[in-house]
Amino acid sequence: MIRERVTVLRREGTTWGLPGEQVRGVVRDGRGVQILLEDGSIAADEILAVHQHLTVAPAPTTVVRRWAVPCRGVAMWNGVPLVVVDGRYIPGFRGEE
Amino acid sequence: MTAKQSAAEGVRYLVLQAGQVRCAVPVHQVRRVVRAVPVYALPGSTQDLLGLAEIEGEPIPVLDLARLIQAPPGGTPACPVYIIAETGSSNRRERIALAADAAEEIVMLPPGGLAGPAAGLIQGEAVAGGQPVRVLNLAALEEE
Repeated sequence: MIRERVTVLRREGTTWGLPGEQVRGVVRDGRGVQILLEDGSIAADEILAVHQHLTVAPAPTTVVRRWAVPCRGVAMWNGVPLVVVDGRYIPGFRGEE
Repeated sequence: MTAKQSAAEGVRYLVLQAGQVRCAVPVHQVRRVVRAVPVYALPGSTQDLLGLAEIEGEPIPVLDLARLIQAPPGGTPACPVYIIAETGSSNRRERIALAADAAEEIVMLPPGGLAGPAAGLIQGEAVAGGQPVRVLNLAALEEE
């Protein structure tokens, strides 16, 4: 297990963990919240938290085998289990054109 | 009762209802049984992976036992449960939860008393309480 900085967000009813090192900024516009990454942005419904030291466990093999999204790990936040994934795999990601 | 006597008499199994199928899991492969708690789906996962649930403060993957054994779906369960088990190698054990419709009873099945072909999770069939049960081997989850 490692402790890392994770931005916890909600998108389409799912709670996601975004590795903190990917986040370049956050802007609010008419469409909601945009999380700016180095190579694009994520339209989030809501940012729930920015956790400085979230305990992240390795992705369970059971998940890796059954989910096409590369999962960096799993964690608990506020009683809610979440997956930590590269922002490019979170729904609502838009790459820079 | 000594271990030798126990082995001669049979193995203890937990009988579960999964969809329309009764199945039996060796008690020694079960870490515990808990009431089903909310599960958080992972969008785009295979259908047998229901998602993650918080169990004893940890995020645990939840598998749909009925789908794993291709059981026809049953009605709405009155008391759904999760069977907590461990899979993986000795240097990386992982806890998983198997969602079942009910945990019914513990039975003793005689050694070597299984019928039918073994396939994947299913080791064979036996009779418990006068009704057929599919006997499962959770260790097969590690070999997928």
